[in-house]
Amino acid sequence: MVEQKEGYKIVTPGTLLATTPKKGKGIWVYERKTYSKYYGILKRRGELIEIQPINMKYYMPKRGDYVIGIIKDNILNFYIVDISSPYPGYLYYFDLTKNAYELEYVQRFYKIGTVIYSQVYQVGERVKLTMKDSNTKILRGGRLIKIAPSKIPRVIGRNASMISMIQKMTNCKIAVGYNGIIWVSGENMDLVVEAINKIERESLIPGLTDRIKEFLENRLKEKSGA
Amino acid sequence: MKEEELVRDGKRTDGRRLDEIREMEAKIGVVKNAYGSGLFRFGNTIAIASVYGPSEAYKPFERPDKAFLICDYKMLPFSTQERTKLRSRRSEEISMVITRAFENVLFLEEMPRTKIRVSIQIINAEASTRCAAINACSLAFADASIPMKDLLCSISVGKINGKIALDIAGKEDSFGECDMAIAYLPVNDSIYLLQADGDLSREEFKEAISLGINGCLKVYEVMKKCLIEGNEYVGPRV
Repeated sequence: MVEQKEGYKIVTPGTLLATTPKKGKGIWVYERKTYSKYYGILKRRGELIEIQPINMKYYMPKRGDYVIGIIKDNILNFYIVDISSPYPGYLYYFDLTKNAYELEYVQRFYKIGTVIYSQVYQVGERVKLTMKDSNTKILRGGRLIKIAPSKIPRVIGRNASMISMIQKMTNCKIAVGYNGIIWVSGENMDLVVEAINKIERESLIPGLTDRIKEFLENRLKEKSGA
Repeated sequence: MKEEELVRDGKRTDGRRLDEIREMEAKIGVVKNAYGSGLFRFGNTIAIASVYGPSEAYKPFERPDKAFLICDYKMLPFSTQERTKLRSRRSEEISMVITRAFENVLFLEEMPRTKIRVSIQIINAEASTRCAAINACSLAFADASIPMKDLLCSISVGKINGKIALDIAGKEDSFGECDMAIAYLPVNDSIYLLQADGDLSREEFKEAISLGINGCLKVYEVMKKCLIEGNEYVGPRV
């Protein structure tokens, strides 16, 4: 097993993690021993063990996640939203707004092809979305980028440091969905797309924030010079 | 070819010992558009597996309790010396046995009402294609982050001139007395696939199984090394 300087280990499925049953994510217990379930990075937080998959290209909906989706269809009293997951999202009319008297007015803005930034509020037989949260909105214009959902925490950074740095330096508006879809709008859209692709490629190499900052500074200098 | 020629002075026609495996190579991330992919090579036998999914399942493929797994094994027409049909009874059978083996290794119940499709292509064949296919599949599932118990590893064991030999290749497959494919899961010490043709006595069978398990563990090491050291996502070592 290779141990890196930053202090993380890469494990493969079936790697023995503990000789006692433990709790956590991405693990399974067999004959009172704990094994890994994914090919990923091992993180220990006290008694908890977490395996973060390296290359997870699919999104499993979780309650409370903000996702970006495109409205595909409108049937009966709900919209079917493509959230790039095995399960489609359902947005019911009564989840469009807090105020019931606005409903008819608000419905006019939701058409097939509309891009929405919404929140998952129930995961059961159907994945239900809501627009009642104050952060949710309809996204107009701009550009959509798709990356692996397992890389989203690196794009956001610790306490949103990475995303706020990119926004400040490029003067762009960015919305990040946990389902791996990122919406970008502003002057330097191409630069943001390049930076995000760079983050996805080099997410496991240490010192990412500094490298991205340097990359953006160099590119902006070139642009202003030309 | 006469039977005597297959083993001479404890060595086989290609110069290997009886318990020696052909050169092995493992890779991941070979198909960019797939959710995960893997390549496995036993000498001249090369298998590429690519995993697509979990994705939304249509009604006929929908199961309320677990994901629907479809493995599709294809031996490409140019993979052998004589051109072969893309679809045959043999490929249907191998697709089915690989699906049955992996249904017990993957945690499919974590993804109900979805479908996972695996495409396995043999681009060059020289015996042990189903073993190479299973190994490539294991790598592809690990790369696609599908939850699984362990890496399923597989190898073939056979009988040549009355002696048990590991990793049957080329002429040994056609002129040998027995050919047996084994898929083994190290974590719970279980065999998930066992297919044999030809005759073996009880003692020979026991010897073949123990030799096969040892061979599977060598394959397991190669796959594990590929996943930990040789993947492009980790990038250069700092």
